[in-house]
Amino acid sequence: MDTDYGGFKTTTFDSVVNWSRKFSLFQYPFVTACCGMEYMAAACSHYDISRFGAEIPRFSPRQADVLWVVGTITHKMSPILKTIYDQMADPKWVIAFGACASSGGFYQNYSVLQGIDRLIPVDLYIAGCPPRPEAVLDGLMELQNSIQYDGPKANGITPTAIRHKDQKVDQLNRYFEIPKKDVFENQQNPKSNRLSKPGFSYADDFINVSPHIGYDSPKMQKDKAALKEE
Amino acid sequence: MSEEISTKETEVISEAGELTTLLQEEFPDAVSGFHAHRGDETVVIERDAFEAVCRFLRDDLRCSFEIMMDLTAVDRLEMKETPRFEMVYHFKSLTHARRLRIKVLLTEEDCKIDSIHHLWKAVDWYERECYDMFGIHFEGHPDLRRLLMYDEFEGHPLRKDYPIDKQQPLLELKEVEERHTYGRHT
Repeated sequence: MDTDYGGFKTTTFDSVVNWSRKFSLFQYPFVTACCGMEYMAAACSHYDISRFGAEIPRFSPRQADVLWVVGTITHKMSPILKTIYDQMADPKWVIAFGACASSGGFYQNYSVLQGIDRLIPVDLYIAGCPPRPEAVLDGLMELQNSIQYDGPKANGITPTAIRHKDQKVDQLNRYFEIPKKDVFENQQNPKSNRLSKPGFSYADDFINVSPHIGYDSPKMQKDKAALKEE
Repeated sequence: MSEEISTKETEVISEAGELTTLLQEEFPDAVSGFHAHRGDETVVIERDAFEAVCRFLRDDLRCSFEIMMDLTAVDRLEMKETPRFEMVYHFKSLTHARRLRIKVLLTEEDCKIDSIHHLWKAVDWYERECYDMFGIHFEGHPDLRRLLMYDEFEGHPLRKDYPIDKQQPLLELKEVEERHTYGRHT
């Protein structure tokens, strides 16, 4: 992609835009629980998240690029989170910070949402209860890689994935293929057994989501139109 | 199990403490049971006399319980005891530096009790929480709404017959393909 022509450097437009995006992430910290302490530790000078270009928390979702969901989300809180997500301008990314935001954590009860990916698309999960600041920075760098190489996302699907739909379906199916001997029944959450059963495949419409992205090259628009006709 | 640990035995063995004796003298019909454990007394009160007993505990100089520390209910469904609910009130007296626990038994069909928010202001939200979680009705409470759960929530989650993982989402949720239980290979 990058080639040196006697002092000039050529690259693609996407690559430059994504490079600038990944080093100027404005964050919206949606802090509800103890994970907030680790977020603060990562943001303050010991670990210093500003080294990665993500130093400015915005307290308005309309100015933010990344939504950090830090802590337990209850069903009572879920409409608020959904509103915040809807208010953010594209392109936008969501990070589920810690066990509770990722899966409900140890709260499997009447009040807690079992993972925010049931409500909004999530780009990155950071494991831990709560995660160490190192894990937070690692997650942030993963997100930056994903921004650089996959570009902006809409509804959690990258345009690359849409352009190469068939390959993506194959890839996902290969990745989630489970040998027969390892199949086990999930007693707690029977819905998840669907995946581990033989013969499962990702449906096409799961992949084929039309992205709404800030810019579209004419070629991309053609590709999208062609994809829609299919 | 020593004698002190077994509640049933202490209940039989223990003698009526100072406050219990006082309540028995003042309200001979109201006290239906008592026990004491290491100086902390528990008195079981009939529901009809509950408000009068509370007023006496607050105003009488021998008691002067200025603080209502806590209020909650116990659902004894799985303990197979009747009646089903047991209200527990904790009072503290700063003047005499002592505590008192009052219990009132409520049946499932008629789980109502007099509100005591006019005696201690702190009771207000405790009673709303107790109504929210257990469905106990506090008669005379000025604003008996849910405190913690949302208005659309049906049922009372801390009752033992509420299913342990039943959820009532406010928004439509997506199905999630993967969830792993940790190390539970059967």
